[in-house]
Amino acid sequence: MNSWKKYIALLLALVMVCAMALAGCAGKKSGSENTASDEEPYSRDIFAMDTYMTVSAYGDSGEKAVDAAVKEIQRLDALLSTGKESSEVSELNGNNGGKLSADTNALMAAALDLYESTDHVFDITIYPVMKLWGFTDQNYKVPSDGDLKAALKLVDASTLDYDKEKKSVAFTVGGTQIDFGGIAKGYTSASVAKLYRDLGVTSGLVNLGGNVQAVGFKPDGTEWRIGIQDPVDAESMLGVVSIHDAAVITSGGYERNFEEDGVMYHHIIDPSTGYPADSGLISVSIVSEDGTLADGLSTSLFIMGREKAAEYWRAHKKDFDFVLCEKDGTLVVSDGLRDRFSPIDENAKVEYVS
Amino acid sequence: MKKKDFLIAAAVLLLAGILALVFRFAGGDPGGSVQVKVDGRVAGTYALVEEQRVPFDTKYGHNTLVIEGGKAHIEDADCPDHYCEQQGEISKTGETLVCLPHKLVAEVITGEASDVDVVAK
Amino acid sequence: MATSRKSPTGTPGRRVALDGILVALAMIFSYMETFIPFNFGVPGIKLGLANLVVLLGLTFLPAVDVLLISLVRILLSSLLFGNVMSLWYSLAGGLLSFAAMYLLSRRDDISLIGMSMTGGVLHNVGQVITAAIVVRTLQLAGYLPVLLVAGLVTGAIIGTLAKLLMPRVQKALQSFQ
Repeated sequence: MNSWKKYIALLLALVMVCAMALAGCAGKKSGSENTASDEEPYSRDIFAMDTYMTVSAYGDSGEKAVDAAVKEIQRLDALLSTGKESSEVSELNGNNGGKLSADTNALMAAALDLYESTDHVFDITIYPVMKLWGFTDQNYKVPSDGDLKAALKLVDASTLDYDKEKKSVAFTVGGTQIDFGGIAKGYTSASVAKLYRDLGVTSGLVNLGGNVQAVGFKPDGTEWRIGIQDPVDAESMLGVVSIHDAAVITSGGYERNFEEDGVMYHHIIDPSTGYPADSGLISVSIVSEDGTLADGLSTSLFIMGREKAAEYWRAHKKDFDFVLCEKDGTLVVSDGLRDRFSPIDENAKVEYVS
Repeated sequence: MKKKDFLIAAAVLLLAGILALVFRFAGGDPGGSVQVKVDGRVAGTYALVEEQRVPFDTKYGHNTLVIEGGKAHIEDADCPDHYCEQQGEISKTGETLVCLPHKLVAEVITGEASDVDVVAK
Repeated sequence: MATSRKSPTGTPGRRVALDGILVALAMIFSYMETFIPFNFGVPGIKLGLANLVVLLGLTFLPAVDVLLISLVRILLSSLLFGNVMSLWYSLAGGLLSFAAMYLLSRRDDISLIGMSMTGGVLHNVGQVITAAIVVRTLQLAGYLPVLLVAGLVTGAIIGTLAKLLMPRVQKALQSFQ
């Protein structure tokens, strides 16, 4: 009986040592080959910024990072929404300008940079025209010429008296209204990506209603495969881009539109005409490390059309790449994506721009 | 080997055979399912192999989830934009149908493996 | 069972030493196994070399010793060659197959091969059950037929190996005593 007790005690001690060693090891990130790829991400979905969003992150800090991301999205939504009276943007619009918080200051700087670089195609003062078309509240209607002309007079970002250092803006023309809608989601996904990195997430995916930003590589070390929506067929894709640490943002008339008297009107308004852009493109996807830039450029290049878009890209090659889809289905791909983009339809006509 | 050993082997093989047959005829590949969430809360999960129409009447409005031929789509929505009805059919893991005004999301949670991690749209 | 099931030998020290040697042996088997590609087309199928130790152990050690050897082996090898998840899978498979093999080891009409086959099959069953709980889906049950057959085959291989090793083990044990 005595020997039996000794034996049990010895083995118990052995098991406890093992258990402690195991607990110690579990604390470290296990580096063995196939553990990470089997891992499920922590993920949450929310409705914000008039869309459906999914944020997910892998790894030990995934849960913390995703929870922080959701809070960050809600904070930015409250700050930037034109629909909420208490938002900072609404207050700016109500008071013809004012002081800017750190986020709106960054957005304003990015917006005005884009305004200059796109030769006024990207313009945050387009808001009065968007309102007229009903794209802000889904009360869609084709505006009368008179109304449109009056609203177009207010569309001119050069009238904004902006001081980046003092973080303030003044609307020098009464009635001017701004909306960061063209870059808000890109800015938000970029902010979440930064938050992920700060919290040590090395693998995560942010999907803000189809605006995608990937952090790092997939947990198995391969690149993320991001599908690009087919603008004609909701069920299929134009192709797939393989990327890491980048945003992929697509804009097209298919996203939001309405029909009146047999004519389709979409939500990407050309600030020079006040009408939906008709440039020969039906969708534009931008791949860039900078989510804000990708968001702003996806609509801008859509308005520019193929030739001007290619020209713009040549001048800013290092900042982004694109996939354009023309009305006849031709895919126009910038050179930087030559090895990263593969079309779904093998017979698709693909032209590379360099 | 003893006689009983063969008996064990035979029993296991028989069991495996029966199970394989059962799985084949009871819908074969158990297949995918669609999870519907309303305002972030799971409202239900539905097998893609079963042809069915599931109405959702929430405080936001009405949508019907229709499953046909292993794919799901939305019909009869009374939302203002009807985009949910235009999003087509879903069957691959991670694909979603979203009705924004009604805060309704249908997502394939276990389906055919998808070729991509996410779709930019 | 052909072997006499006498209780193990000598002093507690000797007994622990023997158990320790067997744990080490099982560990070596687990390690060797990471080099053997044994592909059945379904992930997660292994030859189960470490089961040799359990199988043979049951013939000359009290069941408690074999159970503990098996548990320590699973803990250590999950720690060294696997991860926390694989610990739960191995534990479920290991315990289920141990229980079955222990019950069969008490019968005289079933050989080592029969024991081993049952153990192999139940090892896989235990893993599928764990996987179904972890992943929260019953779809994995679709793999069950394949895994049953796989367990049978690997069990037969291991059982045959055990039978071949048996005479040598007996010899070694005699010298150990």
